[in-house]
Amino acid sequence: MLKIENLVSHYGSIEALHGISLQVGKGEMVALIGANGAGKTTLLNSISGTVTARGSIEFAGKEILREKAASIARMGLLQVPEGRHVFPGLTVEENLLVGTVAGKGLRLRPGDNSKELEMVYETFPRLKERRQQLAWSMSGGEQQMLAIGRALMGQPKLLMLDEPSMGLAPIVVEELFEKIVEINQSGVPILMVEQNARLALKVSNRAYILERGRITAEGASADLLQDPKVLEAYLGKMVSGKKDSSKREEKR
Amino acid sequence: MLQKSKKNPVSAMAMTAFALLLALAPVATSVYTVHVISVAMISYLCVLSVYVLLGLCGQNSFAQAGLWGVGAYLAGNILLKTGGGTLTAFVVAIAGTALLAFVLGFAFFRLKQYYFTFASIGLMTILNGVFMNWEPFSGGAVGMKNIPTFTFFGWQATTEQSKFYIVLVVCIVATVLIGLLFRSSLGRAFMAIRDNEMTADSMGINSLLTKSIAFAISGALCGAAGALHASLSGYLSYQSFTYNQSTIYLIMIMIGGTISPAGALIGTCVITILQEGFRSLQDYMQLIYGVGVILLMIFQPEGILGGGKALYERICERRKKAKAGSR
Repeated sequence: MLKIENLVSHYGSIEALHGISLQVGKGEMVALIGANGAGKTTLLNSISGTVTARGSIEFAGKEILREKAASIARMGLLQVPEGRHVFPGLTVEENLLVGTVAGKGLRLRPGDNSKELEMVYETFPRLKERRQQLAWSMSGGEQQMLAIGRALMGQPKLLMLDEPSMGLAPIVVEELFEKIVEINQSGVPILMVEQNARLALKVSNRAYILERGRITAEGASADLLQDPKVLEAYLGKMVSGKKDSSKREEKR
Repeated sequence: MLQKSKKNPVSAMAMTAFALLLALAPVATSVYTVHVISVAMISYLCVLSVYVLLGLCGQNSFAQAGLWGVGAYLAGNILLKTGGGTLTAFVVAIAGTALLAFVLGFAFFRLKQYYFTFASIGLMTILNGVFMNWEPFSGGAVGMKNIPTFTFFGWQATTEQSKFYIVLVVCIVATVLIGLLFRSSLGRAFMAIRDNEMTADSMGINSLLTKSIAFAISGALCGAAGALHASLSGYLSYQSFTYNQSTIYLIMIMIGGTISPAGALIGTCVITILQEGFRSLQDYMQLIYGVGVILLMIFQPEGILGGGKALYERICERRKKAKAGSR
C-alpha cells in the first residue's frame, strides 16, 4: 500500500530524517515508535506532503513525493495531525462534512453524506450526541474522536494517526484505541505514531523504531515487545510520567 | 435529515422583515432618503463581499473598493462605448471582476495571512492609479459622465424609486446566494480554511484554489455593486474607489460582526446612519469611526451581531431555566 525508500527530509539546512525505508501493507496496522525529536511527525508530514523531502514515497503504486498535500489527501492517504486540529468554529457535523472533500472533492451542493455520517456516528456515538456543538467546546478525547471521524468521512485508503493518545486520560486512551483497532479491522490500513510504546506495540501488527532520524529496529510488534533493547529503551527506563502510566496498566 | 443548518433562523427572519420594511421606503420617505438608501445598499454588497472573504474564508483584503471600481468602469464602458444594455453591462461587470479576482487570487494567495493583506493594499493602490491614469478605459482624472440609467427591454428606470427597487432586488438575490453558499460544501471548505488552513489542506482542500474561488465570489459581488453604482449615479470618478473606501467596508463588517451576512447589513446601516445623521460632524467622522471600532473590539470583538447573539442566547437560557423552575 505505502512504500517509502530512502526518505530524507530537511528543515532548512538541518536534516531531520536520514534515509528512512518503511512499508505498510494492506490491512496492516503499523506503529512508529520513538522519543521526542526522533522525527516521527516529520516522517508523517513528509508522507502527507506538508514537509518537503527527497527519496521515494509510493502510495497505491504511484509516486507521491512531489504531489501537494491536498492532492495526496484526495488520493485517500489521510493524516490525523498531532494535537487534533479540529476546525474550532464549525460544529461537529460540519467538521465531519468537511472531511468528505477528500473522497468527493469540493462541490457546491451539499449532496447526500448520510451514509458516511452514519458510519462515523456508529463508530463514535459520542459525536452524534454532540453533532450541533461547536468543535472547540469539546473535551480532548472527543476532539480526537472528531479528528479521526473527520478523516474517516474521506473514505481513507490509508490512515495516518499522529500521537492519538496525546494529552488524554488513560481511560479515554483505552476507549480510543479500541476504536482504532475496530477501524483497522474494518479494512483500513493504519500507520500510527505513538509515544506510548507499550500500547502501540500491543495493538499493532508490525512496528518501526525511530531514533534521531534513523530506523534502528523493525519487526513484528509481538517480537519487539520481547526485545530486551526495546524493553530497556522504551518500556522500562522511560520518562517518569510514562512509567507511571505503564505501571498502572500492568496492575489491571 | 442529518443535514441541519446551524444558521440562526432568527437572523434570517429579521433580514427578511428588514427587506420588506425597506421595500416600503420609497412610499414613506423623501426622494433624497431613497437615494441614500440605494447608495447604502450598494455599499452593503461590497461589505457582503468582505464577509465572504473575511467572515467565511478568514482572508482580509483592502482591495474591495478597487474591485468595486473595476466593476463600475467595466459597466460604464459597456454602456457608453459598445451600446450594450444594462443586462450586458451587468454580466460583463460581474464576470470580469470575478475573473480578475480569481486570477489575481492565484498569485496573491501564495502569500499567507498578513502578507495577502499587504498584497491587497498594493493591488488597491495600483487599481486606483489605473483608474486615474488610463484614460481610454476610465476617462482618467475627468472620469466618466452621462452613463445611462438602468434599461430593461425598452423600459427605463428614470425615477429614484424605480432605481431603488432594482438595487434592492440585486441585494436580496445576492444575500440569498451567499446564504446558500454558507450551507454548501464549498462554504464549509472556506470556513475550514479560516479555522485551520494547514489541516484543511491535509483534508484534501486545495487551499490556494479555494481561496481564489472565495476571492472570485467576493469580486463578483463587488462587480455587481460597481455596475449598480455606474447606472445609479451616472458618473464615475477615480476618487470614489480609494483605499479609504475599502477601509470603511472593513469597519462596517467589524462593527456589524463577521459571523453572518446580517453583520454586513447591521454594519452598513450603522455607518450610513452615522454619516447621514451627523453631517455636521463630518470633520470628526474618521475620529468617531476609529474610536468606535477600538471600543467595539475591546468590549464586543464579535461586533454588534455577536453581542446581540450572546444576549439572545442568554435570554433563551434564562427562559428555559424559568420554565424548568416553575414546574
